Amino acid sequence: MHIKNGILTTLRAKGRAVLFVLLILILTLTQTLGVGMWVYCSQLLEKFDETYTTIVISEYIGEDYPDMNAADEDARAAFSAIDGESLSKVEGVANWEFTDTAFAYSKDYTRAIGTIPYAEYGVFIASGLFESTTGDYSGFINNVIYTKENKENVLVLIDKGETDFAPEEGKKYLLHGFFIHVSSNRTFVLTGFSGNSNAAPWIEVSGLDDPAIQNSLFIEAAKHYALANNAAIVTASNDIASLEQFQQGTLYLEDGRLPLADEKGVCVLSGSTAQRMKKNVGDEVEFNILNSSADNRYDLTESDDNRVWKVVGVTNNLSDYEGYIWVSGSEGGFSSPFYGYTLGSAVLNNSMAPQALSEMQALMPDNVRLTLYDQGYSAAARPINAMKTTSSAVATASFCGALAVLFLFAYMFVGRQRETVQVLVSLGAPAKKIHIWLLSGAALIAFISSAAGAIIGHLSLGIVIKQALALAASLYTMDIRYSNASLGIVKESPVAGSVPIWCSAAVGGATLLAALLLCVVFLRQARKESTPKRGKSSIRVPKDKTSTFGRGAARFSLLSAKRGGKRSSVVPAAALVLTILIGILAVGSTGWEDQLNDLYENSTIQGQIVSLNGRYATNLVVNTSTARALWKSGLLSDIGVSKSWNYWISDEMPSFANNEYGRETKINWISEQPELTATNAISAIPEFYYSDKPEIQWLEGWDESFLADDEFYSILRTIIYSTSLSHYFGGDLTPTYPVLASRSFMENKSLELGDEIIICSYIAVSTPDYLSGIYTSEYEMEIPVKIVGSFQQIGQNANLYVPLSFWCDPAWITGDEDILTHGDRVPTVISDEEERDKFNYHITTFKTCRFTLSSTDNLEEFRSFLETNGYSSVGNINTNRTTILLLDSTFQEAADSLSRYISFGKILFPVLFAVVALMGFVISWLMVNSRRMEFAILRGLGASKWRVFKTFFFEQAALCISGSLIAALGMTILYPIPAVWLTAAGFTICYLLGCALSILYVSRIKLMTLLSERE
Amino acid sequence: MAVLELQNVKYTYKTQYQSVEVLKGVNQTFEAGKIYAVIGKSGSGKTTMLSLMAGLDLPTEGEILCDDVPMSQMKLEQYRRERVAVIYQSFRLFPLLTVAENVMYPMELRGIKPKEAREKAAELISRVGLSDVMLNRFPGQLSGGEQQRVAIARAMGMDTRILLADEPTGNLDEANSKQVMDILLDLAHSTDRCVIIVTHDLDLASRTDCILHMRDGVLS
Repeated sequence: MHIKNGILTTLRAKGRAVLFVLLILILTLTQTLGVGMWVYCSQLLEKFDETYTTIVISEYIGEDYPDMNAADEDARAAFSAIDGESLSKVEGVANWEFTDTAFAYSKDYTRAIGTIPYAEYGVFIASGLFESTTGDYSGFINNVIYTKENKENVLVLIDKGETDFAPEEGKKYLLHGFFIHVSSNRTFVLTGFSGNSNAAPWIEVSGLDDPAIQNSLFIEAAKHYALANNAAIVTASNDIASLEQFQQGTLYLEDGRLPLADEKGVCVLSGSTAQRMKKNVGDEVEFNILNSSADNRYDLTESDDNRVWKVVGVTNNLSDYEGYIWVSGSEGGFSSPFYGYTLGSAVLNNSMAPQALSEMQALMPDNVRLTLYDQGYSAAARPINAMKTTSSAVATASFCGALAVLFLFAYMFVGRQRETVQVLVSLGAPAKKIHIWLLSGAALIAFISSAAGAIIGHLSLGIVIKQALALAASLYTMDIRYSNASLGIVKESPVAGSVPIWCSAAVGGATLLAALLLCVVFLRQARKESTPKRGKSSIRVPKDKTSTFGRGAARFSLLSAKRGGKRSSVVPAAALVLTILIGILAVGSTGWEDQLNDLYENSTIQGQIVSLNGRYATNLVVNTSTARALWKSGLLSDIGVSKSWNYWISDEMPSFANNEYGRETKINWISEQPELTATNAISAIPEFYYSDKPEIQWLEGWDESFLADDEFYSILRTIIYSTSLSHYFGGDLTPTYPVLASRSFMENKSLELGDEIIICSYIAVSTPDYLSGIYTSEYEMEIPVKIVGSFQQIGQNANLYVPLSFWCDPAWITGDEDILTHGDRVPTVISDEEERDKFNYHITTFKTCRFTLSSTDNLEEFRSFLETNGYSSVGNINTNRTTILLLDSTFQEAADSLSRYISFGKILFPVLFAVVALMGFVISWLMVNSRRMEFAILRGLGASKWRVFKTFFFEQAALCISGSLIAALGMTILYPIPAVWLTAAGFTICYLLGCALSILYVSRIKLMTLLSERE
Repeated sequence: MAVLELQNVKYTYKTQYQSVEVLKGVNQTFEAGKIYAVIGKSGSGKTTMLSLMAGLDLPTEGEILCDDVPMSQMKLEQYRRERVAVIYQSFRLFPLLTVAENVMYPMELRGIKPKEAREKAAELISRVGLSDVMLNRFPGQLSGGEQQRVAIARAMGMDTRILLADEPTGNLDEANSKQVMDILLDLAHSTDRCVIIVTHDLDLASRTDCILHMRDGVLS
């Protein structure tokens, strides 16, 4: 009976019931969509974490980069300086591992591909030697102690080299040396032993069993070559799947599995290694861990450390990875001393990678570069994260709106039913029955609306998610063309399943529960007020006297506002809090926009030409026309190129034999000398790529701009001019070039700023040639240089830096006019200076090229320029094989993050504002409606509708404005921006609009009805 | 002289659930200087008739004439402000205005300045038998009888020729009822006002000049 009556009385108020069914339904629907999308995004991001692995590689960018066998003391110092424990503690770092590799030797493995350092060296017994007409000896290889080919009874030519080898006919000789290829014959050049150059590289022997052979230098050398040439590379890691080659998909398991973390006695072989060793999963391999000398990784000796590993996995067959073996971390501990440049790697938590990378970089020594490979996670997750944030905001805002509506609902359907309660109480109805009466109707409405909202929300969730994903993708997908934010492979995004029904059910249930709880609260209040109390009820009496202040409607308004007590404090307090709430959001949005503007104004974006895999930006071949084309995009503020030659100081060069061997040795020696680099910008100097801009001490009157000066007569012209005049170089024709030198170089040579020295270098000069197209000659030049600046050395070598005009006019790249326009014929005969410039422009290449965008606003335009002109990006060959890498990931990350906040603010602000406005409306509605009796008395006494309107409106306006004003003033002191006042005004207007509507609504109620209402 | 005349006044309450004809053609003339009592059972239409005479609504049919001018041709707000004063059973005082301010309010509505209104209010309060001390009290600080006297003072302050009272003693004890009735009789007879009282109290009704019975929406 009570349920029936409760439901009937509720449903008979049709308009009210329908209104609240719709309101609750809509808000449940938006909550369901918000929560559903949030759950979907969370599920998707979890799947992303299963699919994507983010790793960061730590590399020392030194002189020898990217030589994985380099024995660079600076790299070793950096390796030792890294605090692995601190890195492991960085938030977002799941696992940090130092590089742990070693060479190992197995009798079952012979290297065919890869680094074979002593491929041409050999030790063998030769016989039948006789002197040929060229002074060399011919003979046969009888017994091979070690040669790569391991072929016996074959003819060999023997060059005695620097030795006094003079074989006697009919005798056998044990020989040490190396093979060189002279014309079609293999010639074996006798050479001394490394570390014991005085020992003769030949001895006469009787045969293979000659005692002189045993324990000789020859056997040692043969063993040494065999170890070095057949060394396998063992890498230990507890997360092999996250090593770069596996994470990037270069290698993958074709059979078996990877070793588990700390699993002992097992290994994985690369496909080519397994093939060479004829091993499969389940077989055992035996290796001896080799010891390297400190300064040469291939100076190997056997150790006592023998390992037997069971093969548990075999990768795909890639020749690049021949001789590679992977074992778990517990098998490791090899890397001492450290070789190469890869110091270590870390697996990062996908979502925290950018922050972790930033923190890791701060912990890294100078000149260490961290490169992030996230398999495309960041780009794929960005719109999902944005959607997740937005959906949580929508859900929260809907929740707040729902609370406001449910509050009103409970007040209307239960709180205002005091009369019914009084009747029921007077009839002696028990509390339980009263609860059932009042709650049944409200519960039915709440149930119908929340269930309908949840069901519609669940059914439409799929479509909404699809649309939201498309919108988020269009809004938040970052342009990563040519960006260093997109290195490596990009995996295809996984797809999440459907959102479980419990989400919608939970939202519907929570809405229903909240409605019922609020109804219970109002019910208790209604019962409390309807229950007769013992004794005289306390009446709050304001302490005031009769006022005669003011006139008209405002007088009543001010008196009511002043004497309203708690009632009068509700509105200012709500206005204060809500204005501050949306004010903070407005301040945040404005702040983000300011930060974004600052970021765009203060950031500079550099770019560079790199190798196709993006790993190095030096030792490239960059055509002048390529650099010129980039400059001509009109979007760059500067562009720097460099070109290098090895140089030496004349008296430091050792003497070399005047034969083929001597020439080859000299070329090798020169190639190991420091470099003389011509460049037009410090930014183009590789030595400074991965460290802060060097602090340079300048000779008075000099600065960085000398590198771009075109006043220096180029060495190219000097050579060409000198050769055309057929006399030797140097003298007045070669100017003294200003150079930038390292301080350690200057200390070693006892030089000061302003000192001049003469350095030597081979300079190649090309001219057109009818037969081969280009004829190149090398000239050994003496180049006078003057030190005008010094810097703290970073690399090992004493490189010197001269202006680009040492080689060519910088205007070739940055000038107003083209030297050689597209379609111009490259001269095949040089008859004047202009044609010579055109030809040299055509054939000149640079080894580095770096540039800076004139404005960050040009970033997208520059990307489009690159794309339109077919430039390649890392790992993606286009029509133009020049690979460009824009170093914009940090800027992009910051700009993207701020843009996301701004977009989020733009979405959230209206939603939150609508919620705040709704709350303002509800408060104003309640405030006005709680005073219907006063309204009725005023009207009954003959006050006009307009006067009554003014009376209530003035009062509410005074209360609301006081709160908003305090909030706006307070916020202005902290954040003096106009947005604060706009939000305060916005809230006030919304509140007053609600107030006005409420008053108009009450005005439409018949006076008789109002007066017949119980107070 | 008739100050108020009801001509075939009918009134129907229409709610979303039902339609009830409360007044079924009331014809009555009310004169100045007289006090009338309207008695009848609950639901007979007494209060509805009083509300219509108070200008709170217009009849569904028929006409109410005030000084021979049909109410439908008047501005109801002006009518309520200038022609009629109502005393309610539950006083209907502004809880946050003092006694004086409550009495002053209708005067201020008519354009009297607050200071002048206050002096007049003090005089009226005194006339209804309340001391000056009460002037600065709030309604909540007064007894029911005192509040009803304040309501009468407020009605007197409106200075209208018609004074309507809906169960004016309904919430009062015998002594207070008598005092309030004395005031109303005095108002009718000494100030030439037309006082119409709706009451169940037959003793009270017996003190009036004319008793009217309301039965099923018809006055007799």
